[in-house]
Amino acid sequence: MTSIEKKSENHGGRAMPVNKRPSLAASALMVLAITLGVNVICGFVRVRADLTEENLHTLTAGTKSILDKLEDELIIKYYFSRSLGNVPRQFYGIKSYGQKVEELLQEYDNSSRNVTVQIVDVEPDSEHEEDATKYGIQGIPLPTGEKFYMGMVALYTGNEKVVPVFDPTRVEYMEYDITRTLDEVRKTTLPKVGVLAGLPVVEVQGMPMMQMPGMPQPQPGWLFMKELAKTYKVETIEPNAEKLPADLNLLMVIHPKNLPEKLVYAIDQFVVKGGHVIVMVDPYSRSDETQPPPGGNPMMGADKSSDLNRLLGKWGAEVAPDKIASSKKFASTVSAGPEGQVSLPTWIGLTGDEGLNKDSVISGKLESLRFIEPGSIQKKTVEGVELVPLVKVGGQTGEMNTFDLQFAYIENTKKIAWKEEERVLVGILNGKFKSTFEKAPEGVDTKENAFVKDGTTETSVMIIADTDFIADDYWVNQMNFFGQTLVRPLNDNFNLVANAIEFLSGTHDLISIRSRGKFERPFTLVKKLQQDAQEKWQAEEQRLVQKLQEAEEGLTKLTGAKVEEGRLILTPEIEEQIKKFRDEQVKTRQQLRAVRRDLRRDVDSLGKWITFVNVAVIPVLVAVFGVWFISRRRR
Amino acid sequence: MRNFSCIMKRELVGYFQSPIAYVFIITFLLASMGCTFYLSDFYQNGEGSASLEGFFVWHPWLYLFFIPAIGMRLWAEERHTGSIELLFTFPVTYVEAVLAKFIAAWFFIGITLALSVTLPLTVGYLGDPDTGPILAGYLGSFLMAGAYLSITCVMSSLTKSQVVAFILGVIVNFALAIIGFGVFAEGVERLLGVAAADTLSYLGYSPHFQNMLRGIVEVRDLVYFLSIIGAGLVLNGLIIEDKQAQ
Repeated sequence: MTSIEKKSENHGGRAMPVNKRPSLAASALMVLAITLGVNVICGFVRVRADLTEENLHTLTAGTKSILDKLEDELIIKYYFSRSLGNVPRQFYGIKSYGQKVEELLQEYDNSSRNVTVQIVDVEPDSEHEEDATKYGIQGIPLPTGEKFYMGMVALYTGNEKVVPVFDPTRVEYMEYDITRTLDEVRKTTLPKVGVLAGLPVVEVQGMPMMQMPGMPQPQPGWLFMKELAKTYKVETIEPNAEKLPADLNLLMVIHPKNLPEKLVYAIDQFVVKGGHVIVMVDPYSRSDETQPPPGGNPMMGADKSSDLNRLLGKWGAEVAPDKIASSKKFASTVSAGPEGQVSLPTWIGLTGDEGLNKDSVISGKLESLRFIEPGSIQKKTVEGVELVPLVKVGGQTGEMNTFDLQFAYIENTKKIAWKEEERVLVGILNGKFKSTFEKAPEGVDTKENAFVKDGTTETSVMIIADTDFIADDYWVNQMNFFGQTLVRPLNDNFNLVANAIEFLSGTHDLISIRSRGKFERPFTLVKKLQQDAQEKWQAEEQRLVQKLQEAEEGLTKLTGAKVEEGRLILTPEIEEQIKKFRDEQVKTRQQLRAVRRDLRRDVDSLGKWITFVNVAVIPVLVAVFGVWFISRRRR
Repeated sequence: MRNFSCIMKRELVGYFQSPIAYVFIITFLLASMGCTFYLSDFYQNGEGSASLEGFFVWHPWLYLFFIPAIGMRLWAEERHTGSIELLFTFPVTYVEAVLAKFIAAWFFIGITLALSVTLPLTVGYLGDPDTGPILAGYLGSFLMAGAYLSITCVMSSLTKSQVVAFILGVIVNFALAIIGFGVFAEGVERLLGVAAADTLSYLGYSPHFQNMLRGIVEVRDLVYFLSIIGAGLVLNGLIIEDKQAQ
């Protein structure tokens, strides 16, 4: 009301003498001008509240931080078949998904001066479509023959990075996928990953004949490393190194055994100062070719374990190097030679619905994992550090000593003490880490790299309590097909590592981009109805199918019994039975159909009821009230 | 102040004593719910979404006819019957009169809107809706209704004919509703380029209302609706004052 007083030409009273007042038209124009002006000015003020439950329309701090790092102009071209008509009904969801992507991209434009978003409406057979294809943006083929485009390319100082198509099943990672693409296009070099491995994972080329002592032996390397070397710059760290290479985006420590003190110190400081690490430790690595010590007790067996608890324990978690995690529920069925098929609880197979952390970009979309004699990650309470489990085994679990593997393996698995206890096989430690050391060891140069005791930078250390899972034999099937090696993954083990490396080789800002909420809000009540009915139907169906089977069996017995001289004799008895069987069949099928109809009916009647309540109830009440109120007044 | 509340009460009670008001409420509810359930296919055989988007999307078009129907008589009728002279024999300022009538009408529309409460309750019963966009939606719809009303009041004060007021109200509101909207916006984009189209569509209801439907309450959207309401009320006052002076 004050604003009106301000704007009004009146002084709250009667009209002023006519010749002193500005004309109505002039006043009107001024009012319109002021209104326009106010709006234009406020157009620059970007103060808003995102009321959605999961801040769907707001960018996270991680993204904003990455955008702040941009120095040049970054152009995002979003190729979207926005105005494509004749989109078939099933694809409506995809179009509205494309609109959500467009809205989020707008937020990027709004949040940074350096980011410009161009929405390119791709019409069929236009030059836009050609451009899109040139960038590598894939169109989704529609039944109408046209292609639906929903992809983007980020252009920055001559680099380009593409998201070929926005996958609607990755709705939670929309912001992460976009920001990661922007972060990648910003970089001019491949991320550097240092690999310190106690197993021959990295390919070493060389000619066996030209081998000199001291040179690393040529080895074929593991397939996963070969794949990753295509996207990252892999630097091998020798087991006897004294320091880590400079400028590593990520350090991978695989199966560490007897690391020299100075190297342990280097790793410690790397983490304390904010570096990201993936550690793979294993109580029993089948790929470890360590032999039992010569002259030692042959009963001891070889030590195929690795252990970094000296550092890990200080950071917030430990993996016992002599205990193998076992699961009753998720045991793998393995062919064990003469004993046939055995259930091996130390080989743990998990599917996407059980045990995988859905909120993490690393594990959220994985569908199946298999671990081979893994360890379990024990949390240790450390101030300032949090352990986030990525892969957990639930149900009845237990432990087995590595010693018991060597002899009578299978029998010993039957002696495991089972307990209802969750075990973590893969996890991430997030926080600020403290050094395990009190000071730098002898001989380490601290002039360039001062010793830091308490880390001040947030960082992440990922622990995977297994190494065999990523050995070729356990995740991939390779076949030679006319000279081509065909690779068929058996599970998602590789994706676990690939996602982890991609995630952790990025800046910490990227890591902090939490998975966003979904846009979908289905009618959970209806879903529950459908689920309940489904269960009921399944139970019924099973019962009825069984009845059918029994009837069939009965009939077979009958006919089997009455065959004489190769001919089926149809006694009245048998005919009666056949008729009974047929009647049973018909009745059972009718019952099945009835159950299915009931399922539909419940959902439909709910819908009708809802419609009625909303459309009719209040209007009727209003009418009743109206009649009452008016007639009351008339009395 | 006392005159202000006096006029407002008189207006409000007047609404509820007239059968037309009830017809208005019932028709609006039937229309909006009808659009939601049949045109937007809210339930979709159980596959629908627990949100009120299919409900709010019709408001700009429903308001287009329903609100001028309320607002047309606010001033035109008074001037036509001459009761406006009676009104100003009381010691009431133009500001108070304009505000009182507007707020009474806005309040009445607000009640009508609030009677759609069964829908958010339904959506809460059927699933787990995001309450933010629902609240923002009601706020946006109420503010937008205020804007429609304010403009209609201006039209009503210009003429003695309710019909003319109605038609003018529909036309101006239609212009504002269509500017930022879908097909029209694309046409403008083609003719005048993206920048011009964006600026032009910012003048319309659509982008501001859409923003609120998504759950974003932004200062400039609030300013947009409030400034239209304010400008309309000021113009309303100026026009009435001018007509009275003649």
